[in-house]
Formats: sequence, C-alpha cells, structure tokens
Amino acid sequence: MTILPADLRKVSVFQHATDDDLKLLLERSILRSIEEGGFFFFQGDPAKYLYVLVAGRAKLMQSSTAGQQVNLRTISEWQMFGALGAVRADAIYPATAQALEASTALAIESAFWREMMQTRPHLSFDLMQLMTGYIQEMQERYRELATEKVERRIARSILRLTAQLGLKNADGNIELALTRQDLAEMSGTTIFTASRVLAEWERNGLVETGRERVVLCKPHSLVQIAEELDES
Amino acid sequence: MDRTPPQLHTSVHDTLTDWPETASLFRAFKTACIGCYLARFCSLLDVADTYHIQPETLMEAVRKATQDSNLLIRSER
Repeated sequence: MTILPADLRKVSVFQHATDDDLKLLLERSILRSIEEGGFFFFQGDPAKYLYVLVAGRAKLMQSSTAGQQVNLRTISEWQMFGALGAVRADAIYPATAQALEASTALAIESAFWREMMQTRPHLSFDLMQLMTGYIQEMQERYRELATEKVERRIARSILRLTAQLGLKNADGNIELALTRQDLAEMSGTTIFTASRVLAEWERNGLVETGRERVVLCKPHSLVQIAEELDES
Repeated sequence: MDRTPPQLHTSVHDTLTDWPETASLFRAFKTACIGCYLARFCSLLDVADTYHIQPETLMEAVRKATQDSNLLIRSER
C-alpha cells in the first residue's frame, strides 16, 4: 500500500499541515497491518506511537478492573487515534485499539510528533480541535448516561454512529454495521436491554436487524426518540 | 455566476452547507433538521414527507431564500 502526502490531507489534524510537514511525517512513519480481531495497542501500554487508520475499521475500548468492557468509539479511515503521547511524554494508552476488520494504520512516533508540534502551531491547533471535539462528545454521553432513559440513549448511539459510518443501501434505507454488544456498550446498558429495545423497534417497523447490522427503516422516528420530539 | 439552488433531491446537509441562509426556513417549518445526525441522508423531499409539508411549498421557500442570497451576491459585485 502506498500512501502519498496528499492522502494525509484527509486527516482532520493534518488539514493545515504544509506539504513539507506531510512529507516529513510520511518519511518518519511506518505502516502497520493488523488482522481482524488483532490489536494496535493495549490499554496501559506506553503511548509511544499515534496512529492514522488508512484502511479498515477499528474500535477503541476500555476495560474496568472487573473486566467489563466499554466501547468508546469506532475509528474509520483517515481518523487519528492513540494520540495521547503527542501531548504528554509519559502517557499510557487509556484504551485498547482492536481491528474490526483487516486494517492498516500509519504509526507515527509520539516523540517525533511532539517535536513537530512545538514549531508548528497549526498542527497543535488542529489536534486541539480533535481533542475538544472528543471532550464535547464525552460530556454529551456522560449527561445521557446520568439523565436519560435507555431507549433515548440507544437511539442516540445509533444516530451518532449513523452520522459517522452509515451507508445508504440499494433500497434507499440507511444501514449501519453494528453488533448488539457494541450498541449496548456505547449506550451504557446490557446486551439484553439493547436486544429488547431493538426487538420492540423492529416490531414497530422502525428498524430491521440482522447479523452485525441495523437498517433504519424509519430514521425520523429514531430522531424523535433520541430528541424526545413530538410526533410530526 | 449564480450558484445552483438546492433541488428536491438535495440533501439537508448540502443545502445547509452551500446555502446557510436556508437555516431559517428549516426553523420556520418547525423541523429538527438543523444539527440532526441524519442531515447527510435526508433530502428536501424526505423533509417535506416527514413533516407533511407540500414539496412545492418547501421548494418555494427554498427558492425565495436562495434567490435573495443570489441577488445579494450580484449587488455586492
């Protein structure tokens, strides 16, 4: 697989990078390919590299000491992940990154990226944009967990993922690759509750579920549940 | 040159991105389209259908909003 400097413009953190920045980054990075189910890094490892996914799909998950897993986010192509070491030299990865399908990522040494950012404020600002976006999203999810009904949380998780990863299928419906386990973890509930809610929505014609996928048959009804809107 | 105004099949996302001045009409019709996660997937026809608005009425409002803006662009030249 050949990655060109221009390809890196698709990464939000590199959108204001100069051509020389991108060339330098490519020279100093390595490509890592991971089979489906394999890992880019584990929670607790020193954050020596940051990654840019160039092919495939990966998920970031965090485990509690009791072994319970929470899915934090799904990473799609040209998204950066594991960038904590770029800010703090002694950072450890707070989550595990697992490939959901055969995936390839560009690994950039955190120390090198830290050095680059010191003389290139545009790169720091773009990384801050990414980080503040994540913080806002996490605040929103925390509020949802603390205050909202489970149906609303599940609807919102589906819609949030749809905005990131949804595709229109041949019938014109929106389709999303998603397991019930992932949905439950993202919504802060159990797989049993997620399955019960999905089954109820399926009975009412809102969604169709299949193996690792959800089809949104009445997407606006999910918006109504997520946002507690009146029937339009 | 005038920009091509949104059509019935144009997505809400593209409409709002290319013609931010249409935001007020989405509010006027009391839709939840602004900031909606599905804006990329819904066309103006979907909006008309979902909110029981006559497509002609919606497109007339879109035309008015975008026409005013094109006039503005011309007068600024």
